[in-house]
Amino acid sequence: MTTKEVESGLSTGIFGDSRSLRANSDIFYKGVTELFADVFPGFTLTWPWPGSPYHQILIRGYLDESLIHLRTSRERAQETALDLIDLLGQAPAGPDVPSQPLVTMTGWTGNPLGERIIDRFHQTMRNDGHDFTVEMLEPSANAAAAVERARDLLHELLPDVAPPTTSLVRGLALFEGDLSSAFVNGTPLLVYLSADLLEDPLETADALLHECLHQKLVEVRLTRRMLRDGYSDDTSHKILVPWGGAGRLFSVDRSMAAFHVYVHCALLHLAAADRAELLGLTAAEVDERLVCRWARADFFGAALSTPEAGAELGLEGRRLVRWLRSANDRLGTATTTGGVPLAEYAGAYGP
Amino acid sequence: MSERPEYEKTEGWTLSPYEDMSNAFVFFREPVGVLILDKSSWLALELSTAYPLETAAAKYAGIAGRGVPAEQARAAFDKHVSALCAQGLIRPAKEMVS
Repeated sequence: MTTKEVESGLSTGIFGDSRSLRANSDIFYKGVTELFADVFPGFTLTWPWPGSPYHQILIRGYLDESLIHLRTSRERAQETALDLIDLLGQAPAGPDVPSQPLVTMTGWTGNPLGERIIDRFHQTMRNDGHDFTVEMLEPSANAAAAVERARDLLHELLPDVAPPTTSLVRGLALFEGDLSSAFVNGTPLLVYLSADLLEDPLETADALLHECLHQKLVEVRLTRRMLRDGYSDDTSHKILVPWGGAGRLFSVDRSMAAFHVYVHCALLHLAAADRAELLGLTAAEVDERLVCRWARADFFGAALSTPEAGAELGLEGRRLVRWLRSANDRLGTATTTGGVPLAEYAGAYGP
Repeated sequence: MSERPEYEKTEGWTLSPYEDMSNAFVFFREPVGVLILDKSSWLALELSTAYPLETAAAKYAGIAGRGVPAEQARAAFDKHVSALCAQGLIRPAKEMVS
């Protein structure tokens, strides 16, 4: 009952209604496409964009980058927009990938669009101070089936939240590499998933949800003032995260994204609690994952509610924090399979 | 008293409402950029460029200022009009400029 009630709350309203977020996102990018066509000579892209995931991921990535440049330099913004047009000219058709949400991407090599996505992944990682590298995989039949099973599981466990959330994402890139999953601002509409996860359907479903939620929050940011005017990650109040190693500091923006993910992923594990055996796990293992996610969400809820963190948020950022905190507090009244209320696990963040 | 609006919309921008009409995106051609206009600013934009200022302010108070003192609603309207001028979305109407 708690699961259903919280899920209903998380799938509605200005932060939860993915269909409305998508509609506003389309309005935004239609306007940007028409604006750039008007002001940047040679910008020939029209709305609607070409339908392939490769095209859409890169178009949105380049337009986002151009919009960031606009804050400081019209020339750099124009250069980026025209780089996109050059790139699209090299691959007018693009690889033959079905136009459906969260499609497992194929045809990475020998394709300028695929190679550009890989470049942008590594470039964004370097810009963010990481040295992760990944190698994209052409999915085997077994891997593709495992992804499908995980997506079906996710949609079945959270039928209100998950399908509209995954539908915000165009592509899924399977990779081998140094991390388990990722979402990268330089390649929006795409989530990255390590093939190593696929043996565990719940972990795969969790990673899919996690990364698709980053896309959802990106859509929220398009339309809502989440951070104060003049906010900067570099100078933001920092939150010391008490897991994942010593001295881990998150900006308020990153903390908000993590909070958004952990609340939803706690909900997923609560929904999965009564089917551990079917998922090849013990009840204690599912409980452990549930408790860790709930406790981390609880941590961020408190950390983002301090005056210092609140001062970094915009009006709607503070509203999002209250909305998520209310959902997580409600989840705190649910019990683990061991019969203990989640609220008693505050501080059980895991390693 | 003039029946003409004291303000007019400038050129060089287009407005696209959100799906639920709660806010609107404004796309500027010069300087190139995008801003979000909240509902009450948007209302002030439309009213101040459609009616004489006093009429516009009264209509604004009737729509957006329900439940708040009249002087507070008027102050909010005036603030929106100033902000819209500063953002380059409206300007004093040409006929009104002496």
